[in-house]
Amino acid sequence: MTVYQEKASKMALPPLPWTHEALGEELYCQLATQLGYFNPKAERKDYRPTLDPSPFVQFIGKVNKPTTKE
Amino acid sequence: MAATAKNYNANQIILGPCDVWVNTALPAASSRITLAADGTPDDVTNTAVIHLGMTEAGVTFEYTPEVQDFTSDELTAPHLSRLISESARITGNFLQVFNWNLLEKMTVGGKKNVDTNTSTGYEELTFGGLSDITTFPVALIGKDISGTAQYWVIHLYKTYNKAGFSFTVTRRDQSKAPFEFMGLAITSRAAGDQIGNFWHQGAANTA
Repeated sequence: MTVYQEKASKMALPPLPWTHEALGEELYCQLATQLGYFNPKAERKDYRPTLDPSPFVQFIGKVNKPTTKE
Repeated sequence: MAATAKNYNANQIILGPCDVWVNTALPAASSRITLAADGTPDDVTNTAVIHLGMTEAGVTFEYTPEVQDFTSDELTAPHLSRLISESARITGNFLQVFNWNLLEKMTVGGKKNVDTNTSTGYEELTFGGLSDITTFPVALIGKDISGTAQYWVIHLYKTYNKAGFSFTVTRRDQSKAPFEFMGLAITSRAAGDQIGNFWHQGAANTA
């Protein structure tokens, strides 16, 4: 498991597609930066390619939530 | 001492054709674009991808390093070399100049307008006055010659069409327009993986 996959396993990943339109600027920047795509803040605002989620698909909807006592 | 094996390997040859895909998804670090079983970009993860369509005579990929050699007065040959700059580009001539989604990308500063009204509708490209360059990933995908359903990919993460848009209209030939997707560096990716990647599916085919 890569460093980014380990990080993804602890995040609440949004459903596909990971387009800028679907995610919104804030979430897009968060995913792009934290999961190792690129830093959108260091690029022009019109460069917002769809993020290919293949290394992280297994973690979508499977967040490792802390167990709670009943 | 034994002989060294020669490397005559027919599976290390590339034979076309191939396809150019504009505006693909961007792979994560240490990752690659997701392909469907037929070698096209996966449609779930590549929602806005545009197929370039037919080309006049195939596609050229070019990676050119500019190396500076350092010499000294005492030696006849350079004693040190350093990579000063590098450029990667995908070039060719595309035939389907009547595709407005494509034209918007090709003109760099162009803007597509669409009216979907069935009787008065139109597709239009306006241009002029914009100074921003729109950039996007481009992938060149072809089938592995080994006969397996596997593919190779040349993927430039951030490009623009340096060739602009020009075509001739004549009775004697089909219109065609040159394209030159110039690879730019994404500075926030790791060094060594800032412009693009070239990979193939399956196990290593080295001898």
